[in-house]
Amino acid sequence: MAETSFSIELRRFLHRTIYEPFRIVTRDRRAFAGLIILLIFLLMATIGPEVVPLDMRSNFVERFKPPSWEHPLGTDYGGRDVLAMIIHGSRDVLSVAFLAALFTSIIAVAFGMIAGLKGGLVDVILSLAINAVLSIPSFPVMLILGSVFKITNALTFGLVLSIWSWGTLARAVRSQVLSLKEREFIEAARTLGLGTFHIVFRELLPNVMPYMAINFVDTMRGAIGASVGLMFLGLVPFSATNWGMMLNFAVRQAGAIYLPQATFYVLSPMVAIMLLELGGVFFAHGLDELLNPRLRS
Amino acid sequence: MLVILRRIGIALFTIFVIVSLTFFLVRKTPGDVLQTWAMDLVTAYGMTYEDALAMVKSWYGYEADQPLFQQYISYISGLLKGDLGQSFIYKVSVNEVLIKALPWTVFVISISLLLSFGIGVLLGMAMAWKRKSVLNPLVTAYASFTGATPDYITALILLIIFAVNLRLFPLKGAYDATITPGFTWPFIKSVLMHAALPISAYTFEHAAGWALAMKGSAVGVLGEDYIMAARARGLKERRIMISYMGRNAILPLVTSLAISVGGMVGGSTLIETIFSYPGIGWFFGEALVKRDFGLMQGLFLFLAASIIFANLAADILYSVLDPRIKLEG
Amino acid sequence: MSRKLLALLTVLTVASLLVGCPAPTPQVVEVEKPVVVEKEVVKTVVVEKEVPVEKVVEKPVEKVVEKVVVVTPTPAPQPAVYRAAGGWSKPPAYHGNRFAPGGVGAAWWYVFEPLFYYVPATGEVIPALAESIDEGTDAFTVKLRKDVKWHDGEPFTAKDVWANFQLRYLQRAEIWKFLDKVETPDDYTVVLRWKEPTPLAKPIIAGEIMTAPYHLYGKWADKVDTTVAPDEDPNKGILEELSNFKPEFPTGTGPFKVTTVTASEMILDKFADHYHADNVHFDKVVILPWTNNEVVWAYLMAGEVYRAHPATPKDTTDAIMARQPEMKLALPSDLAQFGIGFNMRIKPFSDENFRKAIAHAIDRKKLREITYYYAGDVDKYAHNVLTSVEERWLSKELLDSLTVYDYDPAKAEAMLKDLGFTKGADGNWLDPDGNPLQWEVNCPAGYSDWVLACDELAAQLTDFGIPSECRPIENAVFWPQMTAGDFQVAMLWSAVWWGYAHPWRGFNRLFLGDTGKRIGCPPTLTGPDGEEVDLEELVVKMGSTFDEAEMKKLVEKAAWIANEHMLQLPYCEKKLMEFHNYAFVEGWPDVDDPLWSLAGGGAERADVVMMVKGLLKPAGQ
Repeated sequence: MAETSFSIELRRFLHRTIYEPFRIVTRDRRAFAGLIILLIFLLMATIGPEVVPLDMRSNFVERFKPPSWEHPLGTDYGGRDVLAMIIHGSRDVLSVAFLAALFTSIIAVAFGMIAGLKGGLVDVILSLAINAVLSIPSFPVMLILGSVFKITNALTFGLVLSIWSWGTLARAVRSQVLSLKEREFIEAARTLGLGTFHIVFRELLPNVMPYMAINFVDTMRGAIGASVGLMFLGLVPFSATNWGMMLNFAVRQAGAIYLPQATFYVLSPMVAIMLLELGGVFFAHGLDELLNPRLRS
Repeated sequence: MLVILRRIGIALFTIFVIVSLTFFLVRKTPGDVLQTWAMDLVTAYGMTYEDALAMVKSWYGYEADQPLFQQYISYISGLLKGDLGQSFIYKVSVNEVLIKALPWTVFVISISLLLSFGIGVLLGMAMAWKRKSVLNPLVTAYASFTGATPDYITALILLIIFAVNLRLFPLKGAYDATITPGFTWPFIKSVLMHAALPISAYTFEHAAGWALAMKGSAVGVLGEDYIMAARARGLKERRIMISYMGRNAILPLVTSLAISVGGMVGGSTLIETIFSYPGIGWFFGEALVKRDFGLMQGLFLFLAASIIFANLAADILYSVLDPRIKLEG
Repeated sequence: MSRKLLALLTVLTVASLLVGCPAPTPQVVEVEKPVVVEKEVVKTVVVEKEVPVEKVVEKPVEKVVEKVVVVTPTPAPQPAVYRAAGGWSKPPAYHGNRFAPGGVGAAWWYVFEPLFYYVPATGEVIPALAESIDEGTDAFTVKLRKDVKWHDGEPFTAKDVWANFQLRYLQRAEIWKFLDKVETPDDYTVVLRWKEPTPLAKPIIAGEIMTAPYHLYGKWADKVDTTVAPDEDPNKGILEELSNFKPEFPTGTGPFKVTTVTASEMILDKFADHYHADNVHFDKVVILPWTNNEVVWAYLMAGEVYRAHPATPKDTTDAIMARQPEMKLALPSDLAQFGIGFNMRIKPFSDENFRKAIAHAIDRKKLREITYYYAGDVDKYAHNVLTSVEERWLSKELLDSLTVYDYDPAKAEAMLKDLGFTKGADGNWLDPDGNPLQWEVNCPAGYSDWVLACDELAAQLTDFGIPSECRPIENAVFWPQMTAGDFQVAMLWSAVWWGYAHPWRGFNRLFLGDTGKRIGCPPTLTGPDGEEVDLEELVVKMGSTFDEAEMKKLVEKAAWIANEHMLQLPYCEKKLMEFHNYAFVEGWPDVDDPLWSLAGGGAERADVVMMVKGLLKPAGQ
């Protein structure tokens, strides 16, 4: 049977949108490694908690045990399995961190782009908003927010985390846009009559992307830390499996820094967060090549 | 010139708006400090809870009588005279707090910022230029590690190693209390020794972050025609990396740096708690936790002004760094 | 890229990695080795010095006068320094007036003294500024020592005591509830005339520190009018003026005086004219800032601080002891219990049988292990009397008659079923109306040990079949929220006897005071004989009965009521973990000595009493 033109078109489309990018991104060993790491985390977050049982009952005698078959990463101050806690925590941690980074990026890019591109009064007003967010401390803001509405799911959690943290990124985007908008290709686009929409999404955004990609991972990591802060303010229920909280309790409460036998307990959440960032940055490395063809060797 | 003046005017207006917002915001913060404060006193001074609560209540009498708007007016008029206000609880002027506590914070953090920024930017440029080299994963791993390690853990570990175990550096303070301050070598040496650990902690923690950010930004610049053209013209690699790639890529980082410099005035809780370093962070914390409106307003005004003017300076700096950018007013 | 740059960058990277590499594993090695080394060094020095220096020097000098005369270049005697940790307001907020916020700080017990100290564990009285006391029914007479001086050299007289009490009136000090006036018949006699005599006179008076010398504070003390409320004129204006008085350092009568205050250190020098100066073997006290527990642990391990009382988990305590082998730990009671409170205003907590059932479902021992290992166990009763003094106040008969709330989930289940609760298909409990139970357990976010307990409690309850979530709340928001009754289950203070160890304190708070308000304690409850007891009456009587036997009966009644109505469930008795390091200071009393109980509510108070008694000296002297 001969190939219909439709199936040829379909094949070409899939090739262009999925296969090609995949190949470009993964051709580099590092990017490939990054992708694998991220996929592992994704797996951990989605099916991990279903597969691995979690027993949060405390067992004082079993505390700070070294790694073994039973407890591959050892136990915490309450005798609970560290690996299980990491896996169970991953779902909330990753989803909240991802959403927080997403919202932060969207808000920051929106403010930064419009402020930088439009200039004039619009810039002044938006910059005022950005400055307000930068200089007014988040502590009272969070407390007031907390008294107004309750955080019930990952979406609202991510939103609250991002609501006061997009300032720096917005300014960074704005400064990049200020620089880019005077460039020839923007002028060319304008001359050609391509609208603002086109300029923003097809010309400016790809240039801002590499910085954003790395910043995204960074923001995710920052969100994990900030979520601990929100727990201590009472805005969200306490979660002992939150990686940031595990770390906080390890150092503050259990004094684990002073205990050689608690090394794995302290390192585990740190290494988890570290691998997340590592994977993200490596993968972003590959994204660079995708978005910027000149970098492909 | 006119543009700069207009920008300064806008900055002042921004500060005014933020100050007003903060004024009303802090008063809306929920919570009643008295009971917590009383509990703290009980454990420290062995008094009964009832006694402590009564004492705290007698201390906390402030501004109950004047209507809110009147307080606002008197606050603003005080500001115009350069008076940042007074702490309601400690009855010290905010100006005095800033003069006494700020210099040390500025000293340590500005050095730390400079060091971490400098190292980070250099590393980042190298990483972007040599995409395939081993430097990339190495620094990325280092960055991920410091990123995953919260500040206080790094500082605590440094404290344990260098002050508890090895005893190379002092555990706390800004200088040896037995040495009188002055421009003498023993004093300067003491200051530097005491600042070594805080600065190291800060730099170690943040350098890699700058490196990664620089790399990200630089990579975006790399694909440009002028880079290719510069190469074709046969310019030295190093020159291209620094003058062409570096200068263009550093722009978003200058923004962050400006914000960090402005934010420096907020103090570093980390440095002050782990290294018992004198600084303004303690006052910020007290103001918030004790709901000391006077102190909060004054300090946060100063912080806001600092950040806003730092941003303004950054904006002006852009037009210097990148002539294509017009300084708009 | 040029080679030079590459080399520089590599060096920088490697250097920063080396400097920064914290590598917890090398730390394992570090911790082990120095233990051995330091031990040797210290021992050597001690041995050397133990041969009393004076003797060694004297004899040779007698014989060998002509020869090496300079055998005695004894290094200028090192000032004997006592190092502790504490908190204070940072300059420029620091000052020496205790009547205004931000004053005095950790120097408190070193610079100020009470008329006498009251030892909570035994009721013993240790005279300080008082030479003798006479406890009458209408008045309490105190004869002052005649050789006391203030730090600035002025003599201490009765007028100073009078001024102190006058100003304390402005602060609504508790003693003024009982006090009518303070008389000074002569320079060294003070008569405290009661309007309401109280059996608690001794501990209450012992809690009043003399902080207001007349020559500094007199002008305000003179104007105070004790017949008018503290917030009315003229008192209101005086308080405002007083809070603007900012002397650089506090002026007291204590064995030390403050000489330097910075953000990182507080230095006190010995007060040479103190009446017990001969007993005090230390020249300086250096106080380090107590920023948080982790840092204090580091200070203890490094020997930078000889004495501190951070709440420390078991393993970290072991690590500190291993690092400082001559460190010992005393555990006096901090006169408080950690407890669980149920909001009795709402169902199902309003039913006391429900509360009793739940009490059996909670493993209190586990809570203690996780939260505060060294705390005292409270896993039998809920009678609001501190376990450490249980014997003194509650007879065996009474205890036998009380319900024991031991950890027995099977019993809890049976009791719940009796009340009409059923277990649903998912193993979780449903109330008699068929609604599932779901709880939120709150705690103050700033108390990290309570957060641990809160989380553990939520896990236990969930395991039992009542899904619960732990939600910490910021401190300043927590307490008012609890008082407003906006919670289900919360971690609260249980029997708190702060100030001095008398059950009246605890019952006052449980039935009438802030604790009672939070849990929603009703005004009357049935007593042991089935009669309706007015709780306020009971507490007031307890606080005014002079007859010991009568008092004990009232206490037992109150304890019965608290226990049998399951008002609150305590799970451990907080103990102060008093680390003290023999490597630097010796003469400490034995860890079981009741003198340590002075530390409850003011750790330095115990230190100072020990110093002034001449017990403490630098190690090796």
